[in-house]
Parts: sequence; structure tokens; C-alpha cells
Amino acid sequence: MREAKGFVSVASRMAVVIFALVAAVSAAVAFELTRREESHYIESKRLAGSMLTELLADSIAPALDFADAEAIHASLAMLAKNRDVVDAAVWAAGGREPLSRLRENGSVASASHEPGIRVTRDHIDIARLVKSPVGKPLGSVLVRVSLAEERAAVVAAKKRIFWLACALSALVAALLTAVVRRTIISPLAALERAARRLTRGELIEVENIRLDEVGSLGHTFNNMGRAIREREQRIYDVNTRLQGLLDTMRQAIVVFDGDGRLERERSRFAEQLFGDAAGVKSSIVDLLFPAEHAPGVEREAFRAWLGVAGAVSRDRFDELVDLAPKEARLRRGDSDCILELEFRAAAGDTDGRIMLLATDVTSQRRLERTAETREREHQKQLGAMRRLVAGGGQVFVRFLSSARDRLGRAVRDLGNAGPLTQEGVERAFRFVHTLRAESRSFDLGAVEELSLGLELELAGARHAPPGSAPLVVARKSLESGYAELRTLLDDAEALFVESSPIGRRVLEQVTVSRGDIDELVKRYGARHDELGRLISRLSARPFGELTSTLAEDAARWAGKAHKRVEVVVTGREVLVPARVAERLSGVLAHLLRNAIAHGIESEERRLELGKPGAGRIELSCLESGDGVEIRVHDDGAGFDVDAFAGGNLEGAFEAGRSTRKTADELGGFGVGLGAVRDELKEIGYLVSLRSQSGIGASVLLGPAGRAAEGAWSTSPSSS
Amino acid sequence: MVDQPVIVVVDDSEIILERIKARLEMEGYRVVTTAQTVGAARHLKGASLVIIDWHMPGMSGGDVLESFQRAVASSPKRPAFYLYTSDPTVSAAAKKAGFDGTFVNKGDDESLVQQVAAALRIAKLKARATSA
Repeated sequence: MREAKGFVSVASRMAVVIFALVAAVSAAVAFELTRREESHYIESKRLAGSMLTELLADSIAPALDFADAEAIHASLAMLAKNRDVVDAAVWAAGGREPLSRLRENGSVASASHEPGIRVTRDHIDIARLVKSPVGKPLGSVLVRVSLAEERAAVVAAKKRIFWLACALSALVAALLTAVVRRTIISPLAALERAARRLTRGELIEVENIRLDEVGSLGHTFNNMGRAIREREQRIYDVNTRLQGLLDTMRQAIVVFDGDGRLERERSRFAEQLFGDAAGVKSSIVDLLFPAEHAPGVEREAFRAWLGVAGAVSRDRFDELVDLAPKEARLRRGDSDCILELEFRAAAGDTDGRIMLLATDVTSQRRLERTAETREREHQKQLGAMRRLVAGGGQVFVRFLSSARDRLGRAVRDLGNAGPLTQEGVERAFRFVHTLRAESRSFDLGAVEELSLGLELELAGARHAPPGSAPLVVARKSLESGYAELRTLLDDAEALFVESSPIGRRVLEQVTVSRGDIDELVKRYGARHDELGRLISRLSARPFGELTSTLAEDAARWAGKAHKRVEVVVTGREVLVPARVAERLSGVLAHLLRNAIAHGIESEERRLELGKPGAGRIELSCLESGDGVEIRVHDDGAGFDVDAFAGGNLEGAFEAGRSTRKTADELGGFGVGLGAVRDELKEIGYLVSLRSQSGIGASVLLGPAGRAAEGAWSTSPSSS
Repeated sequence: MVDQPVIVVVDDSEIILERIKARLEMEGYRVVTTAQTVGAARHLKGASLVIIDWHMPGMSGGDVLESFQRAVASSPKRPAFYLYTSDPTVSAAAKKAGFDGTFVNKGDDESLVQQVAAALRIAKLKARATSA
């Protein structure tokens, strides 16, 4: 049993107290006994002395009456034989000096001989009057008896009583101590041992309990132990339920102290998410922002926040929540896991503990990105016009132009400089460094990768001495790298042009105000000189720009009619005069919808006819003098000529005529072609139709004088 | 938007500047960009954060920082200066030159957004400590 410093057992305390009490009582008893013994001795001596004095007084009365000194002296001399008589003297009545004394050198002569008994420590003086038989005072007598024997007897008795009291006290103390140990100390020690085991979490009960106060204490202890066990069970059950709740949450919950060291509490999802990295006492900074791949500034910001948040009181913690990081990215193999972070002061704590709730939002972010991607796709469908407005294409064109210029300078620099110098390395380094960052902005992975390789190589050669191997190797790498970069930039431009709805025209475009162009056309567009032609070209728009959204639109319209079509545009770079361009988009949309509604067969029908499942519609544009000729051709069934008035194709232009019996969303009642012709006529353009039954139909738009308006229908056999 | 932090970005590439400006403005910051290193200090008024490229023609990022620090020496509110680079070799030089920190992963716009937010949080925590 471990005992604290200054510990004194109850048994020892009880023994000392009991011994002291018994000793005190024994001493009191002994004192009383010896006092009584002494009184008894002195009283006996006093009685004996009184009787002796009485006898002496009676015996010397006649001699004193006759003043017979010898007889008096003889009587006194008889006392000398009594060893208890110390001295004696006789006085005549009224005399001051004694008539006779037992010891010549005795002290009684000066003592008072007045009748009475006087007890001192060493002797007893007994004085008495001597009277005649008739009662006449004759004198007085004084006898002094010794107390020496009595005093010696009292001292012996005291010693005897003292030792007896001591022995008795020790015996009583021992007996009482034994009883106390058995009835109190041992049961208390058993309780104390049980309490210690209880504090260690053992389920213990005190046994062999007696029916006394200590036994009641044992019962109380056992009841207390049971209550503690029941409470622990309830706490365990509550904790289990709470842990169950935490484990079902899709949040990783961990708790850390003010220094950022993780504690034991965590949810199961936290264990799954963080794994071994989240060991007890691990750093929350390293967990969320690992030094290997997290930017240093994010680690620094979190550490700074932790330094403040870990030291503030709970009521001021909320002020710091906005300064905590909101998001962290954990590397999981080749992908990132994105966590949304929320920090709270741990409930009920005042020692700076903080709880982190981390929600895995990777899927949510992916969904958002997917939604963004879809949105971007949708935006792309809006076509080239929107991109031109946004100016994004022009930024890329500027990048290509700028990169080519700088590459040209870099190549010249390399060619003229002879051996590569430190200054040359620095210039080349800056060039590839900038090119790498720019190409990353446009997702030009190959350019970025090649630039990075060159950048790393140049970084290694930056401090190499002139003419050394690293500089020679770097020069060779630059020569081949620059050539490859030129190729990659050309490839990027080709891909950009290919994906542009207006072809190479995209490389020449600049953003200008439409209002300014309109104003120019208004003022000088009617002129037939060089200025008029320049303004006409300036206001013209590439055919590809006017048709950029039609392919997607056509696919959507066909889908609604349960058909499939493919739109092919040729002549994208041909410039369409402004007066035609402003009407052409609507006209082409009309013609496309008509072709899908009336010409293109259903996929099943086309397959039965031996045609591809998707219908093909060609939009082509050719320059024609001051204008353009446009052809819309489909490989559908051709016009149903028999359905038109007069049984010829010209009937297709009549308002209200249609090959359909009812109107629908796509083709309407057939007012389109007539309306198209009327609209184009206003700008001097004519419309002509060609149709081959079962093979397809064409609509031709061209300036009057070049295209003959009309309609021709042929059968397959005559085509 | 008056109380939104103003961020100044200095880079010799207009392309990069446009990308950074567009991305940071999406986050609600007010962004001022400049490709001109000479006289760029006039943009610093009211700025909370300045992001500087290291490899620029004529002046290095360290030179630009030095001129900026001279310009704001008497200003009561000094912006935080961060180097933006993907070149690990210049980080140590940047620290020595007096940059408050370094933004890495140049070209990764999402990472830049997180780093800018972290740098602004550090500045706020420092201001809070000073006022306390």
C-alpha cells in the first residue's frame, strides 16, 4: 500500500491515546490511594502519640503537684525507650521554661506547649494540660513522635502503585488496540483496498461484512460501487449511441488541442478518410496540408490561424471562424479528394480544444464541374458569334502571334550568339518560362511539357561557367526544342482554325464596334469606288459565322422529329455581304427546318431505301461577283411535286401550300419558301429549287442575273 | 464591392494576366493587372495583396519588389507581397528579397484561388494581432 508522507495509522494513534488515558487514570488512582494510606499512617501515629501523652500526663501529675523534678524526669526517661518518641518536655503551670526535657539538645523546648496536636512533615507534636485529680492545672506536657517510618512506607507504596498502574495501562492499551484493529482498522483497510481497485475500474465488492457501523460503511461502499457501474453503463450506452450517430454522418470529425495535436475522439469516417495519418498526437496541419504537395502559404495561413484560435476563449472563437481555411485537397493516388472544412470550439471545453468537421465534396465538385462542362458545351452551341463577342479566340490568336514572335527572336538570339552565355541562358529561360505558363492557360499540354523540359535544363545551366558542358548541352537542347516548339505552335494554330466555324478568318478577326461599321456602311457603302468596296468587305461576315450554330440546331430539330441529320458547311471563309448576311441566318434556318420536316426521311425509312441512317444536308457558299451563291442540298425524298398546285415544283412557293396535311412545329404549313423568296427579292437575290424524287432536293440562292429563278423537278430515271 | 480586397498582379505576359484577372474576379476580388514594371507602383494604393512574377525582361521580381517597397514605405497600410512562380529555384531568393511568401503551381488557377485566400487570411490575422 502506498502511503503519503506524514501518514500515521489509526491503530498507532489509538494505541497512543489509549495508553495515555489509561496511564492518566492509573496515576490519579495511585495518587488517591497513596494519599489515603499516608493519612491512615499519620492518624494511627497521632492516636498512639495522644495515648502516650495521656499516660505521661497522668503519671507525672502527682510529681508535678509536689514539684518532684526527679520523679518527672524519671517518667520522661521511660519514654526514651520508645523509638517513635523524638523528644518530650514538661512545663509547670505558668512556667516559660520546661521543668524537664527528654533530650537536652532537643528542639521541643522552643515549641509551643499549648494543648493540641500539630502535624509537620517529619513529626507530630502532641501537647496536653496536666491536671490534679480535682481538676487544678498543674502544668503541661509535650511529646513529639517521629513520622519517618510512615513516610518511608508511603514512598514504598507509591512505587508499588506506580509500576502496577504502568503494567495495567500497557495491558489495557494493548487489549484495546487489538480490539480496535480487529473491529475498525482491518475492515477500513479492506474498504480502502477495494476503493483503490474501484478507481482502477475493477468491479469489486467488500465481503464478510459485520453488523456494526463499519459494516454499514461496507454496505454503503458496495451500493456506491453498483451505482458507479450502472452510471458507467449508461454513459457507455450513450457514448455508443453518439458514436453510432457520428459514424453514420458523412463527415470526418476529429478533435485537436490548441497546439494542433489530434486527440482520440474521431468518427469512423475520419478513420476511413485520413487512415494512419490521423494518429493520436499527429499534427492537424500536416493532415490537411501535407508539406509534400500543399502550397506553403496555405500551411502558413492555417498555422497562423491555429496559433490564435487555439488560445482564445470559447466565446471569442466564432470571431475567428471566417479566418479558417474553407477547403483542403488531399492527394489520393492520382486524384485529389476535396474537403470542405468547418471548425468549431469543442463543446463543453475551456482548454482550447477544436473540432473539425470535414465533408468530402469531391463528387459534388465533380458534379459542379460536369454541370459547368455541360454549360460550356451549351455555350459553345451558341456559336462563333458569342466567342467573338467574348474575344477569347482573339486572345488565343494573340498568344500564337506573340509566341511566334518571341520564338523567332529566341532562335535568332541563339543563332547569332555563338557559344551560349549566361545572359543568353537567362533570356532563353525567361522565354520558355513564360511560354510554359501561357500554354498551360490554353491547355496546350505538349507545348507546356516541352517548355518545362527546356526550363529545367536551363535552370541547371544558369550558373555553369562559360564554355562548360551544361551550356553546350543546353544550346543543343534549345536548337531542337525551338524547332519542335515552332511545329507545336503551328499544330495548335491548325487545330484552332479547323475547329473555328469561320476557318482561317478567325486569325484575322479583331473586335470592332458594330455601330461604327453600320455608320461606315451608311455613309460610304453606296459608293462604287475602292473605298466602297473596302467598306463592303469590312462589313461582310464569314459564311461560317452565319452557319456556326446551324449544325447543332439542325440536330436538335431532327431529334424532335425522331430523325437524324448531319450538316456539312463548305466555304466557311467566304465573306457574305452585310445586306445578305443580316437576312441569311433566318433564311438558312427556314430552309434547314423545311428539309428536315419534308425532305429527310425517318432513320428506318432511309435504311430501307439503302441510305445512311442520318440524313445529310450540305450548306455551301461560293463567291459570285459582288455577291455570293448559296446552295442548300439534302439527300432526302425530294419535293412531293404531285402535292403542289398544278403538279409542278413552282407550287412550293405558293403561300399555304404544303406537302403536309397539318401544320407542325417544324415545317409549318409551307409558307416558308414563299416568304424566303419575297425576303431575298428585296436585296436582289433569287431562289431556285431542284428536286430529284427519292434522291434529294437543292435550294439555290444567288444574285439576280447570275442565278435563274425557278424550279426543276426530275425523276430518278431522268436525272 | 467597395470592401473587396484589391489585388495587384505584375507579369510580363498579358495572356497570364488576363487569365488571372478573370479567375480572381470570379471570386469577387478587385484585380488590377500590369505588364509594365516601370511605374507600376502607382497601382499599389489600397491594395491588399501584390502578386509578382520573377522572370521578367528588364527587371527581376526582386527588383520590382524593391521598387514597390520603397513606394509604400511611408504608407500606413502595407500590402502583402507574394512571388508567383513554378520555378522552385527562386523560392529561396524570393524569401531573401523580402517577399512575404511564394505562390506555387503557376498556371493552376484553382490552386491560385486557394493560395490567394490563404495569403489574405494571414494578412488579416497579422492585422488582428497588431490591433490587439
